[in-house]
Amino acid sequence: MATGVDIDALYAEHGDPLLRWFARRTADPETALDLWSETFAQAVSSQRRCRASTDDERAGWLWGIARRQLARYLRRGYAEQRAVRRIGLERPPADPPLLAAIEHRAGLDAVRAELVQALSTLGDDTRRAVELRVVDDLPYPEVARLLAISEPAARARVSRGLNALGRLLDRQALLEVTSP
Amino acid sequence: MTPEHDPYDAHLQAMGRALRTAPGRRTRQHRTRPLLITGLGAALAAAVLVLLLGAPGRSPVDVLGRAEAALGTPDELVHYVVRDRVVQARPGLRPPPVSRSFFPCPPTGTTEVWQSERLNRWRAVLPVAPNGPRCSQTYDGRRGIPVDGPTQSAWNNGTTSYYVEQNDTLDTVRGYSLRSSARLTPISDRNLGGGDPVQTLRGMLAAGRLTSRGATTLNGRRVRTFSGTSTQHGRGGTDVTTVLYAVDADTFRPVRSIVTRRVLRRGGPPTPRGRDMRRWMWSSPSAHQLDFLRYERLPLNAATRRLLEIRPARPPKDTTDMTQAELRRSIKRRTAAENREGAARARRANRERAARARDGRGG
Repeated sequence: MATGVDIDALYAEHGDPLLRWFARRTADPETALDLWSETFAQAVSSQRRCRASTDDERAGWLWGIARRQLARYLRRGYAEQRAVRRIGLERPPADPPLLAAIEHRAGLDAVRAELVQALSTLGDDTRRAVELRVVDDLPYPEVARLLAISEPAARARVSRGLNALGRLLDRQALLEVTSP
Repeated sequence: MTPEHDPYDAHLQAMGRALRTAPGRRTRQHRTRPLLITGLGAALAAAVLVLLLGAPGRSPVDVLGRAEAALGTPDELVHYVVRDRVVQARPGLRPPPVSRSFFPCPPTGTTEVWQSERLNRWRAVLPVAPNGPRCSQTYDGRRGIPVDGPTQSAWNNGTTSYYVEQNDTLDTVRGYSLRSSARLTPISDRNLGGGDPVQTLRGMLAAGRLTSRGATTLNGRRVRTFSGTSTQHGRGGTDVTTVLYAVDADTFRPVRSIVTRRVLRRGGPPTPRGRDMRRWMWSSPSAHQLDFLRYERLPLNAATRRLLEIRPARPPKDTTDMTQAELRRSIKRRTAAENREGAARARRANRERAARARDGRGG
């Protein structure tokens, strides 16, 4: 039974699709970068516990970590960075051109257009928060200021809204990860 | 565009470098160096083998994503035929069935379901009612007529329908809440926590609650397995559901699911974790095994929508149509009448007993 995995090989294979997957699921490049780096940091931390013996199983193990990260983010409203800190991973800085490139690669424009239609199903407060963040692309401090709430509350509200729209995002993400 | 000019590719490369040089990782690599060195030879051999034989035809895929996708999307109509039975809660895909003395009325036959999540509708054709020496005859409760043949039931956004072909009766009850337990497919009656199997599996896959457990063989068929546990905290306590799920290794269509459900009452012992949780779940007296004999996804259109309707060959000879409130009132009236009748019978019996006792003393 194999113990440990080659994280670099996994990163080379899945780094790009995972980042796009996170971006499409959260519709937020910054959050996607947080979840993405935490996923690989967690993979580094727990690689000795991985019992996968084939490429498929190793891929499944990595995507399993990613899914748990996403589920935790949707539940709590923030992306954890514990493993990043634990292994001392120094993330390259994210500048506006990079965020724009992630949006472009993930095809967030199309997702946003569909989101606008689906937004009508949300409650007023949640819809407004999601609109400001996802449609108007405002940073969280600005969303919080416009809604007269704290920044964590704004993040939680956007997260709740995105969770409610999860089915749409799920479908998009599934199309992506299952397409040849 | 070169990676140096494309911020996205440049970031991927920079992150790769950062991951390789993370301080925490260097320590871990140092500790495992002997293993790595031995592994290097094997990796080199594997690389040569791949070069000689050619790369695999398909790149590694997200197996959970494929399993989730194979179940279909809410916009499709799902059609499946399942055989369900009650088994002993044991690790593995082949648990033994529970003994007849513990569970005398096992389900017989198969259940066929057409279901649309988007329309919030389903129709099910149910097997012949369980019948055996220790199993009571099933009755059409509304009319007190025995049911010996298959029945159909349907749910449509708060309305339930129940059709008994043998008796030619159709009952419709309207006005259920969309969260009512009436929305669950009939399969869920038998110990399957969380509602119907497809939605339970889809929800657990989407929430990352199922973990890939590799491939194995089941009845000569290559399958992939997944397992996971989900806990739901409610007012009464914690509802724990463990799922072992097998899909076809190529198509990812469902083959078998084994669901164990237990409830930890509020105020009782704390929820076990990890290995203790697995042991506790396996100590459950029973689990619910579903074998998917057929599973297909159909496009949702006017033709397939008709599959969600109960369509008797001719108009039923006896139909009832009432609201849930009317049904509740009628049940209350019937129960009250039965209670009154029972109380009157008991009074009569008491009077007769007292009269016999008086006669005995007098004699």
